Amino acid sequence: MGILRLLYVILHFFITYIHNLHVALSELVDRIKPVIKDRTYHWPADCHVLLTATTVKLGANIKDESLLLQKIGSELKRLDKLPIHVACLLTETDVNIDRMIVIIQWFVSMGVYCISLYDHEGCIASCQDEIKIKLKGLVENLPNGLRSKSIAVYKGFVKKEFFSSDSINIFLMNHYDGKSLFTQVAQRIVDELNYSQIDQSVVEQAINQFYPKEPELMVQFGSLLSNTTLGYSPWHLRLTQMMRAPNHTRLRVDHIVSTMLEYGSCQQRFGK
Amino acid sequence: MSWIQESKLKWYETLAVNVLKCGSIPKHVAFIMDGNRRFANKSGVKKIEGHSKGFDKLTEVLHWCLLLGVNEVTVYAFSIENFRRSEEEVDQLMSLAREKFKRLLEEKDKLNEHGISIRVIGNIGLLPADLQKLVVESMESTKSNTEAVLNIAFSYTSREEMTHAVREVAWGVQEDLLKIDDITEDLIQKCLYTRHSLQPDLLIRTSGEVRLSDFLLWQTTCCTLYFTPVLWPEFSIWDLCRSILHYQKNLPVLEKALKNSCDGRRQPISENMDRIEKFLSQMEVKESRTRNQILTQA
Repeated sequence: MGILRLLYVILHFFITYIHNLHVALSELVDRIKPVIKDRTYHWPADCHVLLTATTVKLGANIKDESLLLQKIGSELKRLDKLPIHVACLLTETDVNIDRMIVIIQWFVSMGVYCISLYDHEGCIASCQDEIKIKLKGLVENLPNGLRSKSIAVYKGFVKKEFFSSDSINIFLMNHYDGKSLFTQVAQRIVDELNYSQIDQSVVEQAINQFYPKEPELMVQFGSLLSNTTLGYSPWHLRLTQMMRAPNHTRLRVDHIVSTMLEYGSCQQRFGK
Repeated sequence: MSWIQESKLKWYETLAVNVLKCGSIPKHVAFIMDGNRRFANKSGVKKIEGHSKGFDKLTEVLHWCLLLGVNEVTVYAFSIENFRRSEEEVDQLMSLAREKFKRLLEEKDKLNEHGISIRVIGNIGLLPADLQKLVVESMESTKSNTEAVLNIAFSYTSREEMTHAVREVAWGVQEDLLKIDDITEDLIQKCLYTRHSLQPDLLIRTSGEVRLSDFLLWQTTCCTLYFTPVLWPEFSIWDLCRSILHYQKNLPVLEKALKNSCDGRRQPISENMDRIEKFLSQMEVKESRTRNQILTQA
């Protein structure tokens, strides 16, 4: 039996090693040749034109990133497929703030004005001041129509009265903004209401007093092979599409485009 | 088809299982069994036939999980949102459920022999009365088993579960069993339908959708989520093995990203522990009374 067990252990090491090679090879291929995942079966006919144009453009060194992103954003909006709130989940331990600012700029160019940045430990949230300063510089790089927008940076969830939907809103979160928000809301509800008065709409209303609301899309950065939520507020993730992107330090604009187009091709059936 | 599958694996499948067991095997796996209707479309059969094939696949997957050493499985059988489907489809699904739960009761000796406990999680009050009775009978007849657990999420959504937990806590406060300050994340977790279970280590969703759809939102904060484009009735043992390999490879990176693991945080020991224990046992008594009412109704 000992020999058999040894064989299994060797084989286990082997398949793990092969899998690692496969992952490393995919990453290498990705660096050389940008690929847009072709989930076009959900797209209306005229979008194929956009998809082809994008693939061609990305293959040939993008000169005007923000123009391309604007075009994609408006196309997605036309199809009602532009997320209102995108949650960025960081799984890496070292956060490069300058890179994050560029990523925020890409999302804003596409027309996403509500972005939450989440990491479990709170590295992002602790850099609030640095982010605020660097974001001010971002406004100058934005396309014309957006330069007049103000940028607000919040730590954690904020109440309705402190939130303005006209500005670009960035939320910095960590795991203390997850289940503990629900617990606080629960304490308030229990304090104010009789148990027979509590139903789902009551809880929904209480949680909706806080911004940001549910993210339509969650992008997980980093080298994890599968998705995870790392403690992001559970109530808010009911219908969130979860996608992965490479490590934020080596993320390219075509990765973001690819993710947004894939999001655009997802279909929600809402149980039906 | 029977709830217990005893088919033997081929030699290369057994080899794969044994190789995987050299790594860490998740103790609790959750499945979102998506893609039955698409499978039915693809095969040119009726939707209900797709759901029936889905059930057959479930029994196969449970067998593979037992062989791999996964002791607890949770499956998303029917969401509260699914009540919005056509009346015909909902009726057909309820009939299928009746048939399967009746079969379960017929096979309860076999289940007891294998030590499998069945739990149904969700708001079963929304189901037809006769189905409620079948569900409670199934749970009662297997409750003393401890080898393996199958949680069937039937008439379930995560938000309804969290709301139910808040309601239970509110009842506790009203009955003077709890104080407002006792309400913590830990207490809410102990009021969920899944309170007797460990949190899932791995969640698998088939058919290519990449969302949780209101399933185990609270419980999957530290979980590996594996999305696969395979349709549920076509899910093979190799797909299961692949997902477990992903879990094994994810685990060290996930643990590093979490550092202070979500559930490892020690709750402070305080004098309210006695009060909370008393509330929890009263809650179990209340639950027990409800189940007895369902059993004894005509």
